[in-house]
Amino acid sequence: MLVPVDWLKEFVAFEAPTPQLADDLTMLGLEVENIQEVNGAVVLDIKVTSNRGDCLSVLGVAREAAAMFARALTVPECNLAEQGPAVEDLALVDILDADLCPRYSARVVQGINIGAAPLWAQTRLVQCGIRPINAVVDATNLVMLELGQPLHAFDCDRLAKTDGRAHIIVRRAKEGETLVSLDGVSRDLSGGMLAIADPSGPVALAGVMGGASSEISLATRNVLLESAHFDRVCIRRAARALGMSTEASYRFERIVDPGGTVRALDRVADLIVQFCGGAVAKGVLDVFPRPPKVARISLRPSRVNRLLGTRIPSGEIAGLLRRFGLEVTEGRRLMVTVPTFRPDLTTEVDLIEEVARLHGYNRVPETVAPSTARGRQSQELELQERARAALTGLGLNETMNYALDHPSAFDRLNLPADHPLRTRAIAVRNPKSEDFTILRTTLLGHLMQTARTNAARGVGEVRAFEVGRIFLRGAAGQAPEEKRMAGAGLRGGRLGSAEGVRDGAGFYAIKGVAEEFVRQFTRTFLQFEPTSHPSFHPGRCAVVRLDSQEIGVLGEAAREVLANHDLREPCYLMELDLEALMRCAKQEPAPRAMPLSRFPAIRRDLALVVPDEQPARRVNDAIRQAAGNMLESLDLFDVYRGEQIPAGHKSLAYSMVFRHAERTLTDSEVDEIVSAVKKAVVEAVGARVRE
Amino acid sequence: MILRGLGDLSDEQRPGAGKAANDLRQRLVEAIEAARARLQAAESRDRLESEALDVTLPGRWHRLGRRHPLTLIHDELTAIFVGMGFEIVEGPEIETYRYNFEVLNYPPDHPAMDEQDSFYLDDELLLRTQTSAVQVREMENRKPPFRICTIGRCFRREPLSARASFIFHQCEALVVDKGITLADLKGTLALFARELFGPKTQVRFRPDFFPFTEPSAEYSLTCMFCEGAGCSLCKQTGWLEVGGSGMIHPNVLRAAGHDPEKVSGWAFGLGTDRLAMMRFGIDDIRLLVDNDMRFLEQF
Repeated sequence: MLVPVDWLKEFVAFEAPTPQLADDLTMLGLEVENIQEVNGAVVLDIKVTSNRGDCLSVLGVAREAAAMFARALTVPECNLAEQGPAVEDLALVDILDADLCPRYSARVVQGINIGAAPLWAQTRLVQCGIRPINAVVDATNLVMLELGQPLHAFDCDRLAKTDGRAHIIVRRAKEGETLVSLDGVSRDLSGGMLAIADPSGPVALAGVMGGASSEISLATRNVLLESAHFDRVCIRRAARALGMSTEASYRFERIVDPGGTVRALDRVADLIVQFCGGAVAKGVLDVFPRPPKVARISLRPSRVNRLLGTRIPSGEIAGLLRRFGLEVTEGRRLMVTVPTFRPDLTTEVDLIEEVARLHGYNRVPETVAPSTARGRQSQELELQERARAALTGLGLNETMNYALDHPSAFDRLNLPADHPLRTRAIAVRNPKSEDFTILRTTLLGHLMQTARTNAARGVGEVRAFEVGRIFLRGAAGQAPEEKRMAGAGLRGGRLGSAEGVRDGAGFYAIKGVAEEFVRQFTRTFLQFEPTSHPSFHPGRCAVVRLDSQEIGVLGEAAREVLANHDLREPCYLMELDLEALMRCAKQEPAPRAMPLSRFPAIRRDLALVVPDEQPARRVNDAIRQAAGNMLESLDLFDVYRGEQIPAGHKSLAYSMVFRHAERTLTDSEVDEIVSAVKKAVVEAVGARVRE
Repeated sequence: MILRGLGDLSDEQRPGAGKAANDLRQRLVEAIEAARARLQAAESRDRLESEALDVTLPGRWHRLGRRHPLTLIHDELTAIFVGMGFEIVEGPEIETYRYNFEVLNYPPDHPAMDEQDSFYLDDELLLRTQTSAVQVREMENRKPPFRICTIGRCFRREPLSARASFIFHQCEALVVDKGITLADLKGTLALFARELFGPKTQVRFRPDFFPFTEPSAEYSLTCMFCEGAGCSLCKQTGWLEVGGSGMIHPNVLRAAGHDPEKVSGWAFGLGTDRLAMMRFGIDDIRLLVDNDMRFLEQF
């Protein structure tokens, strides 16, 4: 809202220099964003909050300044000379939908000669950022800026008549009715919109914009002036539905004083006669079916001080409120009558805010209420903190991504059309941009995106993780699911060497990350089983299970996925259900220290040649089963293929450590156990022991 | 040999010769020991010298990963609020219209909603535009006194630019108890400000409007860079506008099941992406989701 300082001074006298004025208004609640100079005049650019539509006028801002400087507000007099016929002989107003139009006031000015408005008027409009058009329209805009009442002028002769009188009908639009608005666009009206009509149909969209058919032109001789009050919700919906926003609709959506229609009408009629000559018909057509109830609020001075933490005496509180133009009757409580131009004041606490801001927020002391509360994070937050600590400890950098994505992300992840990650994606009904239309259902897409971004910039090594939410549509009638997941991605460095790729170093790296990570939440044994997932290499993908519950997937990204991200070197990805891990962690019992044996251990190594398709786990299980309690640890320290090993086989090298809890084991005892182990592995997987 | 030949000497000569021989033996043994020690020391020195390393070569051990700069800010805020006795909580990012607007005292179709243009999923569900939605959820389940803080992600239909994103993060704190005043809000904000920006930080309020607080205020802190002298970050004013605050509106307390005649409360919030950008000198908000390893490894 642009307010020229001299215009303001016509309403309230003050000496403060402009920068002081600006600062004071800001500290009162009217933020002056900047001070402009337009054609030598100083103009304040004020940001008015959405609850103070009454400040969208010079009068409104002047009221605030008057309160601030404790000066009187003077509204310039309007000595309107009326001549000619009674307005009732010239025009007629019917309000059919009073719920949407509680007041409609009109005047008629006859016999005008329209040209340009005088220079002072045009200058003022320009200072306020409004383009001058012609003397009549400019007069209506000037009064709107000055008093906050949006006005409209009709070419009276182009309105349809009833009994020779221009007939204004304020009614809901009918479905299918159209209106060509002043900007030349044809608008389709609907039943919820309020139209200003004449007997032939809509002539204006109430509170938003006038129609072209009754537009003021240089040929206009007789003018019908509208000054009305409309339901703010109706105006807002109509404006939005038609994609329109005007100075008028902006004000009607907020606050327009129903008590100010006639004053604005008098002022604009006066200006029009000044600019264009002509005669103002006698009287005002004021149809006022719904006068607002007088608003009275009871205010307890004790409550003011209790809420603010101040000690302002009752009389002073009353004085502050009066400075805003409120009527206050003092007593044990203060009875405040709220004028029609402040409909935002409805309850006691609204008045307390008025007292506070005029008293000065910065004069309220700083105190600290004592508290014995113990601060802490929720358990879920602590566990997410633990997740981050684990992953950074494992050498991965934390990434962050938008939760909104585009369905093409699913294509890049090689997901077929019927994959649940695709079908359970929640779509945004009103996206802002084409690129962000769905909520992500997996972290994998963004991990690949990170790999791609870094590769494109020549950053060869990626060690990344994200702890973040994914979203899945609920089953029919169920709420959507929001799940916290932990995802990680590795690429490059030693994992990218030819050998590394061949031997799957990256796979075992990401598996290592998963194992160490889960260990931070639970000591329950983790199981990995080969699985197929369209985003992963078919032979290098594992489902991760905790106690038979599936908690995630990891592996080497599928070739197609790499290609879709313009990558040649492989990527290794992991995604785990953090909610499941958090649940496990909450139930995890405290560790119990096991007594350590004081007796020496005996180590034996074992090398086995085993068919390729036998998973290592089966061999491990066989060894453990056969070895029994004396086996303290089993370490598979090497997997070898090559010379000396027949094709289709691999050599597994184990180191076994045996120890008894209560005495020293003998070599011969250990020999017996190792024999049993050898027999067991031969039986279980057809292994051949390498001596 | 001399010692062995002692037996051939006469009785008078034997003691003298024996002593002389032992003395000589003693001196020889000592000399040999000394020489051995010298040689060993020299050998040790030589060996150590040849084992010396170039200490300026790079170290080699597992590297620690880095936390995201926004996480660092969130950690700092968490520590400050826990230190002041607040319980840190979370809420859903998919919210209902009811918790995001209705219980926060937004009248239907109010222009205040213009700044909260929301992504809708269906008629009732949207992506939350403010973390204030979490506050009422929490207030419904607690009896005063309580102090809660939440840090989370919000979504607004805004265009993406270097300064603002449609996805951003907020931190919000609130207190409800008997006799909580605006003065308490100011006092706690002052404590918070000094923890965040340093011991000389001041707080300045100006009236503002939020449907869920009354009185409402926008608060500014002494600019962290110029300490109030004026610089390009604070546009020469010496103050940085950090966030909104106010006394919780009675309608909101009532909607959460509390009696505004018996208790009162305050709330304040701030945008954390902006704080991270100011603190770390990040000039484009989009860098926070760019995930270039070189960027992340600076923190």
